[in-house]
Formats: sequence, C-alpha cells, structure tokens
Amino acid sequence: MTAGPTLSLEQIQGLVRRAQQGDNAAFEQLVELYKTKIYNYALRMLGDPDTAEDVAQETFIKAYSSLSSFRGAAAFQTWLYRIASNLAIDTVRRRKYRQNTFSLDEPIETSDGPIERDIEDDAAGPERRFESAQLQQQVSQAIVQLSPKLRTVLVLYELQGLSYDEIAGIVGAPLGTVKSRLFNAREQLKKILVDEVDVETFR
Amino acid sequence: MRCRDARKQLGTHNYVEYNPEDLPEPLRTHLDLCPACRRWMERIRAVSDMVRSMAQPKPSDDFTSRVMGSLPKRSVSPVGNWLSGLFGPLRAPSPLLPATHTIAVACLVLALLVGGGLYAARTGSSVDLDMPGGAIVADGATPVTAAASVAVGMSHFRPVSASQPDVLGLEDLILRHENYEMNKPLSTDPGIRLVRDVGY
Repeated sequence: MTAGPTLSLEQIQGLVRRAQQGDNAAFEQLVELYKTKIYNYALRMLGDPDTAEDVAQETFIKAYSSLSSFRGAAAFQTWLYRIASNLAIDTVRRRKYRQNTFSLDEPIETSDGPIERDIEDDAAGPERRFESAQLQQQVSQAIVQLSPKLRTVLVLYELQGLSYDEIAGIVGAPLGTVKSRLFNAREQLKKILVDEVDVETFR
Repeated sequence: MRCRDARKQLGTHNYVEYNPEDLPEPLRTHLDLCPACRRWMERIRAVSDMVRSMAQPKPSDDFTSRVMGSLPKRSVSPVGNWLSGLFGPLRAPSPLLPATHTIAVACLVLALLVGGGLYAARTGSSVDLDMPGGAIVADGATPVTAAASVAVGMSHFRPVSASQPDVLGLEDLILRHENYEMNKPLSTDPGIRLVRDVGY
C-alpha cells in the first residue's frame, strides 16, 4: 500500500488554498505528496509504466487547471483520484487497451530485454515465489484484463487502501455498487489467475 | 443454505475479509460444512493478498519538475473568483466536465443580451419588432449587429451594412424618414436601427 501524505488534513487544505490563489510552490508540494499514489493507481489501471506516467502527469495538470472549481467538499485526494480515474478509463477506451491475454510460454518484456517465464516449482517457499518479478507481472497482466470499472474499484481498494466511502465518491456509485464491483473483480481475477497459475501455490 | 447464496453473501458484504468464526449465521455453519466454499473463500483471499503485495514503484525522478514545467498559465482574478463562486453550485461533480461551467457563463451572456435587447426595444423604438420583414441596419459591420439580432430573438431580422446602400429600397428610406425621431438605436452602437427588410 502506498504511503500516505505525512501532512495533516489542515496542512493539505492550506496548501490547496494557497495553490488556488496562484502559489505554484504550494501546488508543487501537493504534486510531491500525491505523485506516487496517483502514478501507482495509473500503473495498475494501465499496466504500462510509460502510459501511467503520462496519465499521472496529466492528472496533476488537469487538477491545476481546475483548482478554482475545487471547493473542498471532497477531500483533495478523492478529487485527484477522480481525475486520474477518468483519465485512465479514457486512455483504456481510447487506445483500446485490449485484454492482455498472455501465455506462460511467452517471454516477459522488461527494460533489460525479454526474459523467459520461470514458474518455480512447489519446493520453493511461497514468499519467495510471490516476490518474483514474474508473478508480479502476471498479477499485473491479470488486473488489466478486468473491465475498467472493476479494475478501478479493485486497485483503489486493494492497492491504494481507500475506504468504500472514498471509492464511492471517486467512481460516483453507491456503496453497494462498490462492494459488488469489488466482489466481481476478485472473482474474475481469481478465475484469470487460476487459469494461468494455481493461485493456491502462492498462499 | 446453497453454496451460490453463501458466496453471494460472502462477496457482497465483503465477509471474505472476516475470520470464519466472526461470520454471521448461517454463513458460518455453511462454511463449516462445505469444503468447496471454504476453498473458494481461501482462493478469493489469496487473490486479494497477491494484489495487495504488489510493488508500489515510484514515478521518475523528474516527475514533479515535468509537471510544473507543463502547467498552463492560470490567471487568478477577483472577477474570476466571483464568477466561479456564483456558479459553484451548478458545477458538475467531475472536474473533467467544464462544459457545465461554460454553459452557465453562456447563459449569463445570453440573459444580458436578451434583457438588453428587450429593454432597448421597449424604450427605444416605435417600430413593431414582431413585424416580419424587418432588418437591423448598421453603419458598419460590427459584432454587435449579430448579437442584437439574437437579442431580439427574431430570425427574420438580419444585420445589413449601410456601406451597401443598394440594399435599401425606397420604401425603407421613407420609413426611416418617418420614424427618424422615434427610432432610437437598438444597441449602444449608434449605427444600428430598425427599418423594413426589402427582401435582400
């Protein structure tokens, strides 16, 4: 889970007010506070670091342009996530991010070149297996196979650690819908991962 | 209890995060008796754990500087703040929907134009504005003519430039003469007044 801002709510509100009055240094502090959260959210939504960085940057630029319309009724964080969520979903749709189905036989593309998938045997400890880059990649690939709505709720809840209420505010859906989507997301993710990897071996 | 109902309840209420002994009845009893549902729940939990354990990388080192270097110019003026406050309640919840704000401002401009146009029409002209075939004649091409045309709300009034004298017929000149004292400018542009349309 991403570490949250170390400033108090009042301090963050103060930064927002200053930024609204044209203080760019205050806005810069807000970017510093939230950049890792927003970037990770975009990364898990899109599965691609470069696109995630673009979407995260665009989120802050949009937020800056819309600062005057932020009234503080919602937490600044919720507001930022809402912008990021809209941008990420737009990106998914615009670029027609197809479900990234993959085969365990396919090599994984990394910055250091393609590497072969190496599914470790059961003799290895579960912690070690889980920490492997290959598995992280597989989970990441599985997440982007979910529909954008399910993906949004899953990432916000499981990875970003937001509450149901916050997520409901971000996606603009009732609490029950959020819970239902989370359940469906987990269920679908389970199916995807069980098809590709025996999920039980990672417990 | 059927497995299907049990799983639906487990999922809907997020009971998968509960310890089995904390589950309400009859779910607890069902899980005690149903190995398939226990296995199902364990798998769902495993998926959650896998997602939660994913790495949380940081963005590039120059992320903040690139954002700050890409910020658009933003003017913070008292008028802007006042308008923003005025239309605050009308705003859409999403900051990515600036259309509502634009529409609100457009409504204000339209209201001012209509109001101004009606006021000018009531106080400044004896010409029947509803009379078909009317035209707004301007001494020069100006955006005000189009705006006034919209303001009076009649599509059959059209802006005509006086620099094109051939559009004025004899009937128009007579009417203009007769109503010269009574016709007052429709807008602040002294070159705009109403005459009969001659069909051009």
